[in-house]
Amino acid sequence: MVLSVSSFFAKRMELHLSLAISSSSSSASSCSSRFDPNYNINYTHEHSNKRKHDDYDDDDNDQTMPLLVWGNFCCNKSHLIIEEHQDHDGDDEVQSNYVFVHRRNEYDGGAIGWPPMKSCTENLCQLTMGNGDGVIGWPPVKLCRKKHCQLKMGTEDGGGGGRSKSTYYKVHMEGIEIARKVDLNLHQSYQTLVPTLANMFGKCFEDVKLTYQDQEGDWLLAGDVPWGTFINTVQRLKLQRK
Amino acid sequence: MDLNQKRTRMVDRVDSVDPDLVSPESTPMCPFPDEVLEPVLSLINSHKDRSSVSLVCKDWYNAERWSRRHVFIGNCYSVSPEIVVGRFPKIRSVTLKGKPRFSDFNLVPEDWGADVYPWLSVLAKAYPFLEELRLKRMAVSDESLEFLAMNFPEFKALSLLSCDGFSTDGLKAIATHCRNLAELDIQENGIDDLGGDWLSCFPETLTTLQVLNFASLNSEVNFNDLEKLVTRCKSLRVLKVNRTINLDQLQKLLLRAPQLTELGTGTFTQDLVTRPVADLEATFGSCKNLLTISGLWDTNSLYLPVIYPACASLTFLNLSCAALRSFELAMLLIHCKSLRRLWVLDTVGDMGLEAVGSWCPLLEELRVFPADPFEQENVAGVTESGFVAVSRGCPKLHYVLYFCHQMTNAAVATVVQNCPGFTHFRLCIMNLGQPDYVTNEPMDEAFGAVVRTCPNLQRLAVSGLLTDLTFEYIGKYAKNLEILSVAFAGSSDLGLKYVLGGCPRLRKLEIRDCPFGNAALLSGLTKYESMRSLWMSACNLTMNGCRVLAKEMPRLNVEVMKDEDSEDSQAHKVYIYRTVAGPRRDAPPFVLTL
Repeated sequence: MVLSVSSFFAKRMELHLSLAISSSSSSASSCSSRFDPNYNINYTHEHSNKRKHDDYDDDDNDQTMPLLVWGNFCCNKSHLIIEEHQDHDGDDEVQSNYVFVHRRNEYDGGAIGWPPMKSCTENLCQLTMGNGDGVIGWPPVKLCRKKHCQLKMGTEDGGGGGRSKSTYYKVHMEGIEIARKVDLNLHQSYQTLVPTLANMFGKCFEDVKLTYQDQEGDWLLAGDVPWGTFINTVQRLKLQRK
Repeated sequence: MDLNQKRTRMVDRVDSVDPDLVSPESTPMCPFPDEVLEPVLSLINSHKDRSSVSLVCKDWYNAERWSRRHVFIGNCYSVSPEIVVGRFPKIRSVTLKGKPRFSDFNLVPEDWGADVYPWLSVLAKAYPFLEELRLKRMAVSDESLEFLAMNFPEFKALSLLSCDGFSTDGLKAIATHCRNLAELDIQENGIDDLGGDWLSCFPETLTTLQVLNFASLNSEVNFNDLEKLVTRCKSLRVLKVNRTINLDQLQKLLLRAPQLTELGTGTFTQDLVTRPVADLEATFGSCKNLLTISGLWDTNSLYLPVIYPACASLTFLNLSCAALRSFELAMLLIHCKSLRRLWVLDTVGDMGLEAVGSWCPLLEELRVFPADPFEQENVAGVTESGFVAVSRGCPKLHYVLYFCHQMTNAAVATVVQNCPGFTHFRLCIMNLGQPDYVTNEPMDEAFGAVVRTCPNLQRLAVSGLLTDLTFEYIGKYAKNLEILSVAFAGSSDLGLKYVLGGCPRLRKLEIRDCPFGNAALLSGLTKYESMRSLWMSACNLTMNGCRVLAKEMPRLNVEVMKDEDSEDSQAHKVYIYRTVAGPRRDAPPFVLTL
């Protein structure tokens, strides 16, 4: 995992380096002169391999962090902790100095501009541990609570066979857990429907495509059939990113 | 006896102190005969007070242990059930907590432990008349629930919070056999929901139910049986149904139980309106005693207003399952002038929080949960301005849990200036390592302001880009801090050293993904016995460091959870806690006690 991440990282990302404020000023200054992002990524990786063969009794001389700790990428902010090096002061205490590497959103005032790097960050997300959403257990929201609140009901809604017809249909947006409902009676064409739906999720209608589930349970792209036919067969709606 | 020594002896409020050592002179100046002492002491309920009482002298120790009816064990491994029953002969109520809190976020592997069964088998012999059992983060099997139902004839109250390992079959056993059941409270558990027929197991003779909470279960229950149960239990004061209960059914239940003080609704919308909305509104109006409303799944502008007539006396409103928009919340809060506690989703936005500040001057607690915690693009949610708006309008605010994507140091400083009475300050900036988004500086000054301005701070959770300076502030100023949660923060060992060197009242410290190493860990040697527990995961600890700690402090359990991915010398997950029970005998293979 780390191999592909680090090469990915080295090739594609630009970094803004900022040093963590360390109370040991000497180490802070030494960091700035020696730090080279590309070097240290590889260094950390090789260093970790080397450690496997080391046979030190006293680990205090040779502490390493878990290799690369990935943060919350897809919002265009990543947080990488890369181990720099150890300093030993005179009292044999080990101080590790950590350099925080930020990628900042291009919208931040005063920050160095970044390309948003969406495809790359999405791939990086796949490489992290855990449930594929990012770091395990972050943000610290109890998962059972999340499931408990967003559980889909077993009952059909809107336009099931035989029941009186309601015109509210569920709309899901890819990547958003909380769905919405739309009253299809208020629309007469796809041209009004799609922007309305996109707006509900804060998206632009050009960035989404509308799909729907018909009475047979199949998912189809909206727009192929006339509006009237669509209204009669639609069960639920889903917006997907283009 | 100085404070630290005293605390060392209080192992989660259950002592194994040899009474002779407590006080060398046990001849009191004003002797109270036991007949006076015991009734007086039986009025004392606070655990802290009872612990203090037990340390006065041998007579008071004995009087206290005989008069105690409720025992609270904050860490089930800090003491053995045999020690507990040996000291307290007349317990009627037990509260047990098990796994470390980070197990809520999947950081603790399954089968870690905290099985309640060993406790139950000891309690059954010693306390056959046990009435109440409250469990948090324990592993509870169906067999345990069946054992409980069959072995405690006077059993009255069962509360399971964040437990796992059981199914609705276990609940069937409780419903069937506990003839005097007054409380069944099932919250946020990892439960295997096999169906709703457990509810139908309550016998027709059961009329003692006061609390019924099955909101977190998914399956449909038999509504007729539920309605009959609610009708015959005249003392029912807390009813929290699950999402399968629709509005019509809820109305029927409310008509049967107008005395309710806490209500958790089912789904709060419907496609088919069989009763006019006005009817529902009137029903809510007839519930004069409601203090708490929760549930409200799927609600919208059409149905939410039916609860307005009940809002004037509400003190707690839990909207964390209702994705309200700002104006919906605002319209609702106009009616909630007595509100003390409010839980919402961040769909309400900053404007919704402005409404909170405007309409809820008595607010003491606010929790804002993220509707899309794992959504990383284009999320709205709440920002620092909502936080400030609440603090301006709610000077009594002392408990906050706030999930957001951005924050500034200045905003936090303003918030605590407006509300200096904070006891619980939990700020979660969901983007890892996020600095102050205006100044791009670390968030150190924010938390510095919190600890400097809020002398009563007991619980703190930090987030955002943080250096050692944050911890220097915490160690220096947070004199009353008891619980600290840290994730992805700090720059060096110094951070942890500051905290361990300060914070005299620290009880629970949980740390993940921070650059703290062995030196920092070992700097807190003398402190850990005065704490309940320390959790450190994905930090910079090694097995050798942990071994040194274990060797120096034999009254601590130093447990390392081995991960397949991590190297042998790394201590990936470390859980350290004081105990009088020695190393765990039920540790799974991946837990090493050093």
